Amino acid sequence: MAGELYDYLIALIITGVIFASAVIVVPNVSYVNLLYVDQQQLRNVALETLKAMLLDTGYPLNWNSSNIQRFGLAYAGSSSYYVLDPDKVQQLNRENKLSYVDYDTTRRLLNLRDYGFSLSIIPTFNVTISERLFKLPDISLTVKVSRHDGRPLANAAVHTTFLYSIKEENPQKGENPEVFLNSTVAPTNFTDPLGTCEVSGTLDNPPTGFKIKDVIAVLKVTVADIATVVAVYQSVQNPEGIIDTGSVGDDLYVWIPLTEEEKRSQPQEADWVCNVAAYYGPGDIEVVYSGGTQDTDKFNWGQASPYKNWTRPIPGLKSSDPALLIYVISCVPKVEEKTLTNAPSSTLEGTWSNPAYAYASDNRYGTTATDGATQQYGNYGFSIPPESTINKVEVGFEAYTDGDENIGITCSWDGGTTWAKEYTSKTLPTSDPNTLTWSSFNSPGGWTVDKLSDAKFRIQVKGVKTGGQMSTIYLDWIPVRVRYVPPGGGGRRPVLVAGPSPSRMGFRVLNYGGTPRGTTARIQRNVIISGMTYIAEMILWKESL
Amino acid sequence: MRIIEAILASFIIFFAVAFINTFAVTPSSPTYETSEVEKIGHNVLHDLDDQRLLARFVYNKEWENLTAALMVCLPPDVYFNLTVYKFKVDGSEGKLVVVNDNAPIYYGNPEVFETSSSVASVTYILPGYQANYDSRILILQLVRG
Repeated sequence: MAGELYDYLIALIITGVIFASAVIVVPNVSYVNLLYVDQQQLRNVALETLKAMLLDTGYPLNWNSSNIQRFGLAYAGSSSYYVLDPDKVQQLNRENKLSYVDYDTTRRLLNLRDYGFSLSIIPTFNVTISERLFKLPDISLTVKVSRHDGRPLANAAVHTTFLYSIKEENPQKGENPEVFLNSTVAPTNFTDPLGTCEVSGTLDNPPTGFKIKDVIAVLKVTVADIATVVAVYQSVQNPEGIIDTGSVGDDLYVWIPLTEEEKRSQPQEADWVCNVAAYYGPGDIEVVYSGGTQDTDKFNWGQASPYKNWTRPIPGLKSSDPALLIYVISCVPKVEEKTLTNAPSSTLEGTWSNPAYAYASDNRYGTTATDGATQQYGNYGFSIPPESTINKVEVGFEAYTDGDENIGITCSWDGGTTWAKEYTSKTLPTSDPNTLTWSSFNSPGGWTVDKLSDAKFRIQVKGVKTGGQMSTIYLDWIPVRVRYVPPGGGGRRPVLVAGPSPSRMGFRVLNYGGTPRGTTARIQRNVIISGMTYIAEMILWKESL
Repeated sequence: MRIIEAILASFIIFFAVAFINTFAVTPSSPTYETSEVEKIGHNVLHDLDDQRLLARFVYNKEWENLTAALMVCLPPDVYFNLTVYKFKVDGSEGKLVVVNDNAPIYYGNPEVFETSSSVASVTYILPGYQANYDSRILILQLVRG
């Protein structure tokens, strides 16, 4: 009897263990089905969330980061679906210093505590500029239009408007120079089967006494009348992080981030907004603000502020809903400095032995054992855009000596008539250092691209004796390094910036939210912002399992 | 002996549960895909209509533009085939006539729409153009490529 009881007990335990194991194992056996269930749940949540985001106006109707109670991007003034309010979308842009609704707040308002999401708003197709040439007054651009999977879009219409700032060269004493914004519409071009087309145009000559200072090309590209707008800048490749712009309601905002040095040194040089134009379409441009001067429209900065800003209300701006705003800002554009290091390709006058061996660092040497013997090098072949600003010209040498000699170096910018102050090295090493020693040279009135032309620029090296006996000097390489800023950089001028920027900045290409992980659900919808179609894409995932 | 019986019984339960599970009704991806692609299709047609492009393309028979517009608005991996019908009264009978029979509006391999098991279909009605009542019925078939 007792044996039976134990049998039953053990059997019960074993059955229980097997049953419990089955409960754990069976769901894993049907893992694929569970994955479907999981994805279905995610997609349902994603669908509902995206619907809430795109179809709801939120509360209050024109919410901002300080008063938002319910999240929604729909435009309150539209009776149609999927029309978004540009002001609300801009508040998802991290660069918007005025009002930014952070990701955690949005998650909380959308009741997505257990989920993460990302929201992207992108144009319906890509427009890239593969080549751009601003040789004023002529401008030439190569445009490529493609789908998001890279396939080219043929027969896309490219409507180009060139906007340019012109500035009075010699204003009357005590008066501010006048700055105008002008525009020229280029003929419409169509992309070929490879999705590319050339856009070119010539700007109108400015009035006497005025000069063109900066240009921006605004391209409205349409595929079957679905449009996207792209701006191409002369001064900077991409203004992101250099100048940020935005608008909320009828108010315009411009921010210029300060460098660490600028933050420390007060007062700073004043920048100001000269003009603002609204772009509605090719040739349809309205100047909404003009006549700004250093006195009236200067950027303001606070003691601990990381940027300086300018703001101005433009009545009726929001209701007119321009596709783009073009700002003319008097500033010194921060353009990246470029460096060119070239070697000579001709030996001019001189008495050194095998001077051509100094064309490259190849352990073959031009030599001299004569005190005061000189050798000239030329044809450095610098290809620097005209009107570039030359910041620095340096000559490098890789040389050694058998004894304790020095080498003297100088350069000329007028074909050998005038020479810079000669640099004399320290005692040269006694074996090939295989490194360059650089020395910079100045030219009266500053360096220009013309002074660096092959016809005018040349280097001269000289053997310099130290002590009583002259040993041999070996010169392996004599390159020249030029640091320059291409046209568009350097100097205060009225610079053009488009905003909310149509390329990689502002809401035109918005990336908001977290980083997807694990199983995700991806939902897309077409939306309309300022009369143009964009794709809103949401990715949703579970934050905690 | 009873232990062996219990083990056997447990195995039977285990296999029974596993067997039944194979019949469990779980939402399948193709079913979901159809519904999602339908929504995308309707959203795109609505968007084009909202911008007053759809009616212009259809009534002016700008089929190339309509094809291009659908291509850029739909996700790149979605193939489509659009047929435009109009209602024609023939005597006492009314019938639907294909308007774009000479100009198929599609993207992707047309065979996909016959072979795929998950083709989504969206019906969209345009009541007229420029204040004239003259309806068109758009049937947009969609499938993920």
